[in-house]
Amino acid sequence: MNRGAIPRLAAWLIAWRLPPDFSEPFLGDLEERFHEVAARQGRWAARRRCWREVLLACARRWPDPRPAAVRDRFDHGGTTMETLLADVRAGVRQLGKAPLFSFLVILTFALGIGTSSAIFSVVNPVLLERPPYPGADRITLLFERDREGRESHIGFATYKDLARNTSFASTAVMSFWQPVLEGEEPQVLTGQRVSSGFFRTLGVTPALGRDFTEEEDHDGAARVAIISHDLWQGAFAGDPAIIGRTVRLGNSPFQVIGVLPSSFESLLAPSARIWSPLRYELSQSWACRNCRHLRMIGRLKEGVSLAQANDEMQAISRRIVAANPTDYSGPGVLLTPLHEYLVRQARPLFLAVSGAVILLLLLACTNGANLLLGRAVDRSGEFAVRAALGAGRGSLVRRVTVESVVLALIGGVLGIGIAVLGVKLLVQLAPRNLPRIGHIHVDGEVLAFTVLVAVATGIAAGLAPALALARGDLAGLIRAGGRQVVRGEGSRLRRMFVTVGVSMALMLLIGAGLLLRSLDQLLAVQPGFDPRDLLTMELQATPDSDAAVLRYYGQVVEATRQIPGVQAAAVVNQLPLSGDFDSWGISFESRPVANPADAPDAFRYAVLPGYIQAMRIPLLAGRDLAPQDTHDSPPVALISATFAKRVLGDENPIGQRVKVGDPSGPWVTIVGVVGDIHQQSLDSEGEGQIYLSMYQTPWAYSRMMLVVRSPIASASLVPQVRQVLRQIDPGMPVSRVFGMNELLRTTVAPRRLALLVFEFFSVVALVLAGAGLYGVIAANVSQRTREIGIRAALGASSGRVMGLVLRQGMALAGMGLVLGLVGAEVLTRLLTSLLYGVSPTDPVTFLLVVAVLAAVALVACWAPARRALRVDPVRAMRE
Amino acid sequence: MLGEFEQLVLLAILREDDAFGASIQRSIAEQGGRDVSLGAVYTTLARLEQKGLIEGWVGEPTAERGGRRRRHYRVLSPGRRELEASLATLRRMARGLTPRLELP
Repeated sequence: MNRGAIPRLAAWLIAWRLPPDFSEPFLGDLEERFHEVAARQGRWAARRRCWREVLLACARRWPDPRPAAVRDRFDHGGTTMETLLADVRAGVRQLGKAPLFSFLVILTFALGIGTSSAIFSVVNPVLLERPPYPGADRITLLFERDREGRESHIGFATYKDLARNTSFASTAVMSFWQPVLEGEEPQVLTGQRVSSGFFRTLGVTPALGRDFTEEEDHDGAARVAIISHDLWQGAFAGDPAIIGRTVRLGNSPFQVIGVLPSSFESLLAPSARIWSPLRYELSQSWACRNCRHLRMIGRLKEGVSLAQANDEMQAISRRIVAANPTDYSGPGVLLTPLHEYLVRQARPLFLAVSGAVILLLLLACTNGANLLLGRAVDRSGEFAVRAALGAGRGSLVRRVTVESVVLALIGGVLGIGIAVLGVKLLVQLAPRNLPRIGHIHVDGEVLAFTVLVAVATGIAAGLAPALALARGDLAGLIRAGGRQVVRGEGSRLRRMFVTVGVSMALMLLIGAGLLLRSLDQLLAVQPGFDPRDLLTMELQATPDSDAAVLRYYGQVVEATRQIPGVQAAAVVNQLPLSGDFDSWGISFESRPVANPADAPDAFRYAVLPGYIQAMRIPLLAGRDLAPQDTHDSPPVALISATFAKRVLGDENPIGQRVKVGDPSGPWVTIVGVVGDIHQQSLDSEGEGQIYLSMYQTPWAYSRMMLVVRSPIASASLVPQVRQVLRQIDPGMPVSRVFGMNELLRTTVAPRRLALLVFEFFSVVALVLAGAGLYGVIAANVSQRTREIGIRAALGASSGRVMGLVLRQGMALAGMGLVLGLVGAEVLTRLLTSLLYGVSPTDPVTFLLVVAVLAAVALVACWAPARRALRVDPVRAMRE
Repeated sequence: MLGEFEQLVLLAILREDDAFGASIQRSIAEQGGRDVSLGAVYTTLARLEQKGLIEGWVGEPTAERGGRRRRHYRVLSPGRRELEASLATLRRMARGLTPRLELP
């Protein structure tokens, strides 16, 4: 018979709570009953009943098995549980006796615990939890290594070669897909085109219907699609006959063959809701080795380590490159585990934020401890009486610790409220591309974390007064009526806590200061174009032929320019700072490279002439692209100044010829030089740009971004533009409507979030540190009333008395500042990747923050110093 | 004087040939129609034992108990006397009230 009918925790509870003679028969009875109930009502009912019995039994008062004489000798009644409960009750009573003190301690704890729970609930799903796929730790991404050793997407031919390996159970490739779902209101869907093994590699099977087959992943095969649960419920209203239904995407019919489970999260393409087979063949021109636009994933076979797989893939890569030397700049495949791939962008942000929250929690702990110590000093008399009545050192220490834990737990409950609010705020402010943002909420794990933190905080904070009591001499405490012992030991500790508190506040403030300066610097960076009054939106052309697409965009821009108040309009295939990324190798005629793969990269823009003007990118030399540059005139281009300088040095770029991408393509003549812009982000450096007329690129883009420059508010401009578009083609979907300024703000979102967290924490830290300092100095002044009175009576001037108090306070603050500077020197390195244009040890920030904190310290000491001045010598001496 | 629950437990022990915690609980549930917790049975058994009204001893481990031993109980003669006295008191007090209390 299995012994496991009783949960281990239950057995442990019983063994702990019941007298030793009873726990074994009790558990035995419990198990017998369990089987009885399980046979009649099922295991679930039996389990529930078992737990009820255990909890009821634990709550009962059990007789002490020891003989009465032994009992009376060793304690004052009750088992461990009962004394603990008595201590808790006493602790709660104590709270009522000193409501202001309790309120302050609880508030301090609530701030510390609440913020750390809020941060934990964000960090947990984003950084710590494994991706929600079975065997997720065996899923990796595979990239080619580019010249600089960075990850590069791969071409289909390379994938086919890499797929022939023995390390992976399955591999797949994916590319971005944005089909238009036809209907009354055409809708742009985000999706992925994937090779047939995609879902198998992720370990996901459709909840309805079936997965893709190998046959469906070939050119000319019937078009099929798998949709997300969310799309099924939304666009298809949960149609029960969805499997087999034909839907029109763009101009083609697709048969829906599967619906994914509602629990499926598309982490590799966060907003994807529809998937269709890639249907590539090696013979197709876009399946080439140079056509690096696919991301590859693989699922490692059971028992194959990442290192083993890596060795095999490097060997395969060497063979591929040896056979096709002109297609690669060197061998190398990079294997990145899925979890690592997903979290690495968010990691620096969260490490910084977590560091800040730990500082804040420690600060709350020391401040709580400080308040408790102060309270312990006030209660020395009570402790003395307890000790005189026979309370042991242990019971005094236990009582103090329990009180502190009770306070921390109440703080924790409040803290959960803070966490719920904080999480809402954080999710709103978080950068949109944060992985698993939908999974950020306060859940059971967060609650467990909070309770754990609260108990730890309570014990840690209670430890200080407890230690002061434990180390103190109880006999002395009784003799002195509780004046001496706790005070001496306690005030040493209190001074230490204040110093540490000031140092932690300093570290947080320096973090905030550095981030603030970075953001300032970053926002001062010129993006290279004028982002004001610039509206952008994504259009998707539906015509079939390239000529029709071009004609269509020509009409759109022409009509948009006619809207009153519109100063300029154009279209472009990729928009700066929007996350678009279309980078090509540019080979200069005058700078031949042996291997075309070694040509320098530049972002390549296919634009409608007029784009440069519309964006207000300065034309530095030569001429702009003109309407006359069409498919039957010689191809021309504009290049950015820094890119030209990097490749050509001081040579005049105008008139030089380049090839864009394909070495067999036509020569393109540079006719103008334009200012640099930032494509990827404001802090990216060394990007190059090349602009081509969209009439001269090898193919037309069906997806383009429309940019409209107009001082009209977007609220009234957008409907006008939409109306114009509807007149040209009512079936054309419009998406991603943004003001350019919004995009700019998005690119600084992670820093802004970090800054906000640091700012909030620093304010709390300032208040806590100031309050701690105030508490210690004020207590000190009231203890020294007599001494100050004597000094005043002996003729000390008010300046001297005040100096006495201030000097003491500022000495503590000064020590804290020095300590904090040393700490900041080390900790700000964590922030390095979030900083821009400011060094982690920026002297201006350090000095300013020290000055602010010193001012706060001065204010905190000022009030007690004033009180010292008002001491009446006569009364002080009489006491 | 015995408490009501103590009476129930004593009666249950007398009913069973081989009384132990779970059997007492079951007996009170089936005969008495009252669902009581095992913890309550145990604390009462401990109290009765301390008063010297019953006697407990440890038996052999059995498989259906996950290899744990039973603690068996029997009523000692003081227990029997106390129980008789309690029940007699109860009967005397109830005498003549049967019509008004709708006793069975």
